[in-house]
Amino acid sequence: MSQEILERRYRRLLACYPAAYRAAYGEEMLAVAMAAAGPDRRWPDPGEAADLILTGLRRRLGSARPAPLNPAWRDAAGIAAVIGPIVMAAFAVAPLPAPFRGTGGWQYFASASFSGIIVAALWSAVAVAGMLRWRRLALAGSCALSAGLIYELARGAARDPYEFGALWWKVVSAALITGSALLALKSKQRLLSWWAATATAVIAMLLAVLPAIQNGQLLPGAAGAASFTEMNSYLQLQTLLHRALPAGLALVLLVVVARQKAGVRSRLMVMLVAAAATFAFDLAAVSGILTIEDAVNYPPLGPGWWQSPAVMVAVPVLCFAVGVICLTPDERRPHRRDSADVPRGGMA
Amino acid sequence: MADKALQEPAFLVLTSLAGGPQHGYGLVEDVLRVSDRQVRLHTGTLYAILDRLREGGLIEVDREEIVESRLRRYYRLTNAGAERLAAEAERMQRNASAATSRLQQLPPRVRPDLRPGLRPEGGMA
Repeated sequence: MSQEILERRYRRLLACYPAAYRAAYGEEMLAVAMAAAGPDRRWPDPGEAADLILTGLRRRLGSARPAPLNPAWRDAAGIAAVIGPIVMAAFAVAPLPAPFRGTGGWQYFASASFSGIIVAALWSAVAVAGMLRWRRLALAGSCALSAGLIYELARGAARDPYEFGALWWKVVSAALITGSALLALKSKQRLLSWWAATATAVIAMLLAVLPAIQNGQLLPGAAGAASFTEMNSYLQLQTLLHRALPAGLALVLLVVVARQKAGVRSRLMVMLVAAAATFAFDLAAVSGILTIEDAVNYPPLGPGWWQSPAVMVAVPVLCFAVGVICLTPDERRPHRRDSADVPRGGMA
Repeated sequence: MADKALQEPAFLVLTSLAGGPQHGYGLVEDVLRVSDRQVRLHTGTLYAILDRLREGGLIEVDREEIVESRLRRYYRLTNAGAERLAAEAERMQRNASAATSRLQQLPPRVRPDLRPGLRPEGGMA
């Protein structure tokens, strides 16, 4: 009778193992455990029980482990960990360029601040670290800058929804960069070519100093113009720069992405689309909120339900998920293991 | 698997199977004997080792029996397993010789007493 009770208890312990493993080894293991226990025992030996639970759970966790990551993700992450910080440096000074309906062009709503320039310099340093393959330094830098942005977002969101919209796309981009820097730790990928790095850096630098030019902090600008004609030409130049620089940056980045191998390119596109969609969505949401006061002349876009922080949060997650799903199944998991859980030659 | 050093329990299981095919409980008993009662394998650990060794092609199933209505599966060493065990034993022997020879070089006041069998060349009387 005691043997039956003991056997039942051991069977319960064996339930810690996956069914396939139990089917292959369960009866045999039970025989060994029962033989080791000896007669007249009603309870499993504590050491034996702990061992069965631990090895069983380890087996389950091992079988639940996801398939190894496609190396193309690491290579794509290596590229994203360089171009991402360059874009962040470009937009570090101004919170968000938004379509300002009065001028019909793109305009920054913040003047160049000292702290903004420091942040731009730090993002540039992260990009350089990524280029030089000082991957741990790049990771540490992007972690620190992301933490700073999250702090800023938490503070700003409490003040007004515009701050949330203006900062959320930056937090998403910083999170993507940090994730990329982490993935890139083991990447063997040769990074951007020097021409691409130089071109993006120059455009980023110009974008970073643009608000300072616009507000007359760096050059006299429109504010210091002697005549209306001169002021008008300054404004035209600014409008041109506001349109040309982001377009130039986007063009260089697209060329960089297009020159990658197919698997790396598609993964880079998934990351870029998630970041760009968040940027565009936040821009639309924020500009709607900003134009409420001008509702007479320019009907506002909102605020509507789609301008709520919850929707802004959902946009990048959805875009990334859809992007990953759109990768062909073969691309997603080329290294899927055979069902390693089932021992070879197992007997049911 | 061929590149990584075998852990002691796996080494002892292979050593036990080098003496002939064994079933699960037989292995537990034999490993206890071979290790001078230092290593007692629990069931979960034993089967994790057996599964790994089978996947690595170092052991295989020899036969199955039903004894007192319980399944007994016997395992045996494969050729690859025998080669692996020999290589591992040689590696351990080399390491042990290096350790004993260095211990011999210690100053007499800190040098432990080495058993005759452990003494390096010249001390194997």
